[in-house]
Amino acid sequence: MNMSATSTQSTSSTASKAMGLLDEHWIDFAVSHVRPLFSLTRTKARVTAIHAETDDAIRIELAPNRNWKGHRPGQFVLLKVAIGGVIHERCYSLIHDPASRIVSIAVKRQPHGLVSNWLNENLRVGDVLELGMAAGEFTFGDAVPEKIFLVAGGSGVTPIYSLAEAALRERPDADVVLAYYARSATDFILAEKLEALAAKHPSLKITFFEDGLPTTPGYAVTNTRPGRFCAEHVAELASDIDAREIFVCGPPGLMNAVSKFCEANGHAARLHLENFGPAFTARSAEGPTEVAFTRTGLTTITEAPTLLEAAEQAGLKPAFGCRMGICHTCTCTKVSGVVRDRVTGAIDDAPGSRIRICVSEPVSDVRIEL
Amino acid sequence: MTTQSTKSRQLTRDEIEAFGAELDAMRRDVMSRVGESDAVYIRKVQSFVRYTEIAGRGLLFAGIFPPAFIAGSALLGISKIVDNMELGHNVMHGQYDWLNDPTLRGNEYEWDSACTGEAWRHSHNFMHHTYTNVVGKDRDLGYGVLRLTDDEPWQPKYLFNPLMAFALAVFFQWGVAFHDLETDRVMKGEKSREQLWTEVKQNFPKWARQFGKDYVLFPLLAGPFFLPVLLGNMTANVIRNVWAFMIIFCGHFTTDAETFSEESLANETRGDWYVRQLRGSSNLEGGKVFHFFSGNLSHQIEHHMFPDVPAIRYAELAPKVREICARYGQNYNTGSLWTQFSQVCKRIVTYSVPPQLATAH
Repeated sequence: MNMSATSTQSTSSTASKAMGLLDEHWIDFAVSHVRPLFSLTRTKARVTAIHAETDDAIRIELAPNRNWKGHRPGQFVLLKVAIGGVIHERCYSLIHDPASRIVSIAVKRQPHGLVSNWLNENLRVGDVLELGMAAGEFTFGDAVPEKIFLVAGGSGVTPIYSLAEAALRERPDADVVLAYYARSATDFILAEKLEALAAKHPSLKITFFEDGLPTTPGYAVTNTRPGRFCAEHVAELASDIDAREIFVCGPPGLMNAVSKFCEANGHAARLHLENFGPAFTARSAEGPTEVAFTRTGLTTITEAPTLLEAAEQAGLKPAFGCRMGICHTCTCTKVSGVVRDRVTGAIDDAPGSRIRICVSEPVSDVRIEL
Repeated sequence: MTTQSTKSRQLTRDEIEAFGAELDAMRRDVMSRVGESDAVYIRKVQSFVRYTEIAGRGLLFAGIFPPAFIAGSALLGISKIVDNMELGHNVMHGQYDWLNDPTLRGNEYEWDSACTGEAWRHSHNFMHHTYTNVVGKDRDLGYGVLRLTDDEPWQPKYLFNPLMAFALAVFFQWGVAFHDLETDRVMKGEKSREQLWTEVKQNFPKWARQFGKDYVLFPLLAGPFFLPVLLGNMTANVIRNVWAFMIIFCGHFTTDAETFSEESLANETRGDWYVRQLRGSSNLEGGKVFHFFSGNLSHQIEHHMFPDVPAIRYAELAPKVREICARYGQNYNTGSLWTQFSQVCKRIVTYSVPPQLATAH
């Protein structure tokens, strides 16, 4: 699923871009005949297990090659999967203990989602996928706080679980309150792992809230309560909220509700957010849009008809050629956002796609790698 | 002074725009169908290039035996041809960027040829495809060493046109590599020596590695049997050079290929652009195997109209493009390799002598 936090991509290394027999792609190709996970620079990983978490979500365990650099609890990883010959990239939060060197993620089917549905239907143990680097700021920082309030919604439980487990591993007596909101008693992803964690650590208090939708086949949490996030839940479960670091991850509705609550009650400074769900809102092309350049750190509000012009207005000098979409010199990566191809009219809303900025018109806020 | 052919009739403004609109629609249609089969295809091409290289170089290690030498040189030559044309040239046009595959990214690809990807992308993707056949802008019109159009005034040095063309063909890999340096402009004073030196330094690492790979590394690896390896690599390079030269020169230097003035670029609409691409290009007829080995540059017209459409699709577009051209009274310049290349040779010879002596072209 898409995330609003910036995903990091491994950039091309021009030094090893030689030709023919001696370049890294050639060597990867040659050695992979005997060792399929081998790559000089890319991180490949083999699927070692697939668990059905709920009716529409799976938990995948991957064994990465030597290039995997590990992660901090709460971070996400870019997953690259080839579907129909095209490599698609999506970000997923990492669940497992970093020391284990198992890469574990959960993938929930999104309505009309290409990658999430493909993974749920077609992924098999033994398949080889590719990973980017781990990234994200949804972490504890230097030390685990003494008191923590974790709020999870739907598949947003993945980094939340990772944080809870890491917190208790480092401070077994950490006071962790976790509120998990899902559609029904059978829609709690990682329910069994959470219950096992709570059984092992008395200082972890989990409450499962379900929204009253029909249950589906699968594991059902038994002691759930009805309801959506509200101030009363906080008052009841974490009356000492002023003393707690707050971490929330879930769909936009939950994120908004928690943000508003925190802002209204003076908790904003201790609030950490990780967005699960569409990372942008599509706007009409008439209004100005915000373009963020991730490599240079610049941002601009623009009404320019193309991203190339927006970049130039912001003072950047991106490579370009014909300025009419033919020579592809200006191709760069769109991290997130929606653009329209001014020549064909095609809309591109996929994260991580390669676009020709001279003919790409921002339709929503956009982040590009420049 | 530019070259025109009378085989295409002049179109009205409305006709030009309609012509462009029909071709745009064709492009949209074919791109909507580009998908998994194209992905599978280009990966097969990639494998073909790699396996023929392994086989070719492997056989050349046993090149002391004539059959191994012949087969090894041929296979390596084939590998270099396909890497250069069907794989490298097409990938660098961004035709497969939509795969999001780091081994097939147009902006990063490096091919098994001395020219760096950066230099090629500039001189070919940008300069040649934007300013196709525009006199004074498209440096492929002569590569800075040959006289091929009336626009270049005759000078005595052009008496050596045929010899230069032959040398360019044999050493085409290096001709292409040095092409983007624009040494002719340096000699005219239009480009500074400092700039030239900067570019030489940027490109030199690849030239050195390319030379070293074929003429130092692999011969050394062969130990006492270095000579067949060295000669075999040279043979393979020459095979690729001459073949690429022939195909590429057939694309724009047949008798009816037109050139254009810089003035005509002002206010050039998309329709105008399509017309210029059509009139400046010429095709080669052949079967599937021929199209494959020419990197589908046999479909030069289709390639120039749709440079970023996967080249394997040009064969299906060609009959439709031909039909549109017929309806608009435009010449669809095509012929066999023999016919078209004969015209190229004739042009090389014709322009080597002063206009007064030249026979009718």
